[in-house]
Amino acid sequence: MSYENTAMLVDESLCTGCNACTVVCKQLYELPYGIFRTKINRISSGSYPVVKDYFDKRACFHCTDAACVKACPTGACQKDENGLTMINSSLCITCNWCVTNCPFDAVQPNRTNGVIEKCTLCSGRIKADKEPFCAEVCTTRAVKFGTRREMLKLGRKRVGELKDQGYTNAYIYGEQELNGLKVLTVLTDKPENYNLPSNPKIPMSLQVWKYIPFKPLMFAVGGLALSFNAIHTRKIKNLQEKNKKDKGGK
Amino acid sequence: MSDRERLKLDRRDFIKTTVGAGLAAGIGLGVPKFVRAQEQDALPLNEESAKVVPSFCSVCSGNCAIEAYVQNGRVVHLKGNIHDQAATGRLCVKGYNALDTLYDPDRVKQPMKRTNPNKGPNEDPKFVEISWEEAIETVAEKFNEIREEYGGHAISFFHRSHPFSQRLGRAIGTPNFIAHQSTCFTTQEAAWHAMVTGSGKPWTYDLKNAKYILSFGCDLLGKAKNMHMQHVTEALRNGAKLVVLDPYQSITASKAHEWIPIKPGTDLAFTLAMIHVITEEELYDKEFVEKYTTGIEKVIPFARRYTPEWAEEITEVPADVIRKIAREFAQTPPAHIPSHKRDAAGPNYVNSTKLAQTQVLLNALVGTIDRPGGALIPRNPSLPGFNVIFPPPEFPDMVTKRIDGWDEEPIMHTYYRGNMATIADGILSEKPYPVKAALVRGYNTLTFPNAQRMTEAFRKLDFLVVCEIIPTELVQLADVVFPEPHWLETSGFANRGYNSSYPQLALRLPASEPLHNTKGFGSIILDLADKMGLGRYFEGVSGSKFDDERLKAIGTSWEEFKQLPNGLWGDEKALVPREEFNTPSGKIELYATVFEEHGFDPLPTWQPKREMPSEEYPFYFVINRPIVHKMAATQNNKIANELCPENHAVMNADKAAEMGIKDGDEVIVKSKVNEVRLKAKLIQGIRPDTVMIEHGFGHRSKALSLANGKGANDGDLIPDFTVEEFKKLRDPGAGACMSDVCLSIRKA
Repeated sequence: MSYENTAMLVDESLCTGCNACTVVCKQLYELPYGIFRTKINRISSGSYPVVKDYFDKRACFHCTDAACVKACPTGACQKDENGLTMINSSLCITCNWCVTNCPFDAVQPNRTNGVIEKCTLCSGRIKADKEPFCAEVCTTRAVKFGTRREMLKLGRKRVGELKDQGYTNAYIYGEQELNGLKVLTVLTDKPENYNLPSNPKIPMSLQVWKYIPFKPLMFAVGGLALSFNAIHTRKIKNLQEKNKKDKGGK
Repeated sequence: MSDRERLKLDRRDFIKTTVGAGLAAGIGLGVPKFVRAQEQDALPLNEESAKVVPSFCSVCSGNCAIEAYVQNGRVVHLKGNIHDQAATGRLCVKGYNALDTLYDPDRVKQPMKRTNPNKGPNEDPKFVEISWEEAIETVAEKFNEIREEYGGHAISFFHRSHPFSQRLGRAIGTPNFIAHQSTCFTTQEAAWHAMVTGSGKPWTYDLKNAKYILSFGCDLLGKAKNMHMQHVTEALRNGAKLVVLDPYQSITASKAHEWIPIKPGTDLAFTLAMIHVITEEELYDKEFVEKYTTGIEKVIPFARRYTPEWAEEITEVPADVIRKIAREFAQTPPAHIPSHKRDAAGPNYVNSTKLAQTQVLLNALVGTIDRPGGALIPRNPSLPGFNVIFPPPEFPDMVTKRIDGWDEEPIMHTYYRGNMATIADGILSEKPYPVKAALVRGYNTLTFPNAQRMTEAFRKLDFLVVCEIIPTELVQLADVVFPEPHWLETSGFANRGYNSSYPQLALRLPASEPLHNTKGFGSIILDLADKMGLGRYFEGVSGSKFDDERLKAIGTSWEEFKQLPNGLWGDEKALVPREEFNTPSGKIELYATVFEEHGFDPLPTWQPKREMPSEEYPFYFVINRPIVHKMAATQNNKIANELCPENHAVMNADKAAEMGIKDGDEVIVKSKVNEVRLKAKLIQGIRPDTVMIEHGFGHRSKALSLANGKGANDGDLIPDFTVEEFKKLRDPGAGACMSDVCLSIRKA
């Protein structure tokens, strides 16, 4: 399968929140307690007896316009040649800026290993012509993987069926959002019901930040300035204390 | 350290980080792109180089065929076998997670004996590790002592059917084989036995081809049986309609097109009214009913009294909704009412067998018994039994009266089943005779109704032997513990448990080396028989010979079977629908003559549930199983524990607000037998008069390091029975009334 134009399709209407994907992902990527690259949340709305429950498989969407990439000060978080958002942990300083700026809460600091965790869409597997694990293991086949064209076709068909069944707000999330998400999601209702922003945006601050040139250099200069400041302060303080001591001695 | 010093340190750290970051970033710029991506592309599983071992899952009785991936001697991943009709290349979450039981550091690793004579939930058993020889000898000696002094019937066995153990029991002279099914599915079994099969309930469904699925508390998606989840979602994908009646909005209910929060224990009134509508309006499948059933002429006048208006009063579901669903059910073929174990037609209420009867009846009325889109009678290969392969020598006479009263169940006594609802009283009251010892395999105290009383019963025994994989609460009460291997360490073969539309067997070879000093149950029994001086009943018997002989009967052998390329035996065959059924008339008996013959109601006359809400206990009780857990067996698994560490008293948020209970508050939930302490969880998706408690929690074994002390056991709230009380229920399905109890709830 050509890697470039691939996409994942998550059909929330057929997801039962069993977390089979979560379990296999945690097992194989050996993620410690509390760390998930994907996890399903059950969200409830309405009031008895008209209650709707939604299952939200949350993982990195691999946004075309990725806030995390814009936020990253070191270039560790980047788009790879095929549009996947990847974090190179040898460059990552775990400043957590990607974590705070992700509009989907899909990035998480892993303090046990000192890295930032997020879904890689099993990029190694895709390159080896295999599906990501969550697509391969999903019991109900709610998670599918293929070319973006195929996935969109499938998603549109499913949305049509759901609309016919009375889910009038059925929708493919990720076709347009942030210029397209690599993970498309069939929703049975409005995105807000799944805790997804209906019109996700990259924060203005990040947009400005992105255009600061020579960021590493700025950091280095800033760091030097701060070190100088620290040394200077310490010197002054030592001096003051010495003076105090001298006074007390007298 | 003074504040100032701390500040100084922090500042130093900060500076270090900042400078480091700058440098790192600088270096980063110089690194070529391909190096950056490498790390993230790492493959945690190398499918090409990993060893793939065929197995099948034993988390539940579905037996999904598995490909186990082994890397560096460690099983790292389980995959569903694509060639298995049940698994179709997938597993359920519990199957994937089975690795956590295999590698659970808390596993029972070595035969042990107790050195602290005091037994109790808070007593440390002070186990010491012993050799297998000593373990077997100790048990054999003690069993022989008890047998001589009190008779063989003073020794009881608690486990699912196992031919070796049953023969040992027969040789010892005990009828007391206690199993769990009266808490699980005997109600459904009795109805199917009488009306269709003569041999229990078929668990296979062809729901993927159904167009209308109607569930009475049957949480096919939330219980996460692999094949059920696949079938139901496939049906949904194909545009089937799913309607769920359940007091609690289960996962299946949340996926349904309609969720009807019916009043607990009144499902029977709903189904009776459905039969009324379908017969009155002549909506049933006349061809099927005429050709394959008997008794419709008795059903029609019987159902006349059960109008939807009558049912509305009982169920709190509007009559027009009942009418609409009855019509849709009859007019959207194929339509089916599935039922799997502990749902409304499982042994939850005293009227559950009758509900199961109406479900068989309705399924027959729309012609989905052994037809596409409905329940299928399993097409398993016919394998010879243990006694055919190894004919037994003559057994001595023995007492046939059982301690749990199962021998007196008019219909169900013919099955290898038992009554967990009466056994505690049997042991404690010593009626009809004292029981002194028990060998338990795979059951835990949490499994029993009134678990606290059952704990007392186990404590009363002179001698308790437990075969286990993990150190459960019952292990803590044992005198001798036999560690068993995890199924990923064993070999064997199995039918396609819950999805057998053509004969197919799955092969199991050891995916893992034995991790601990364990022994399989069959071998334990053979050793025990030998040491007890009962070896003559097992001449020539071995597990491998048993497997080999059974396979020879279907034209293969273990040697040949082991080489199966896909790990599966049996080619796909098209389904040939049954023309005949195993009842006295050879047809599906809508009017159950088998029930009539034993003095039971041949038609499911309305009967209310046993216990009704009162001022003292105003709430109905229902349970649900968290999707990641298998009963009480997986709470100590690392990931399952992380995803779902404890259970709650789940209640309606508005009702709780009225009572001043907030989300997360500690509450005391009380029934007439016991009380438990839980955190309240407030939701909208439950009836205001109902409390739901997730099953499987409340572990108190300190040896289960993750599960211990989390949540509480719903089983503590469920009443048990004396044999006399139980007989008075007059239930042909001998259901243990697992939810037929009411609760009070207050802030702790």
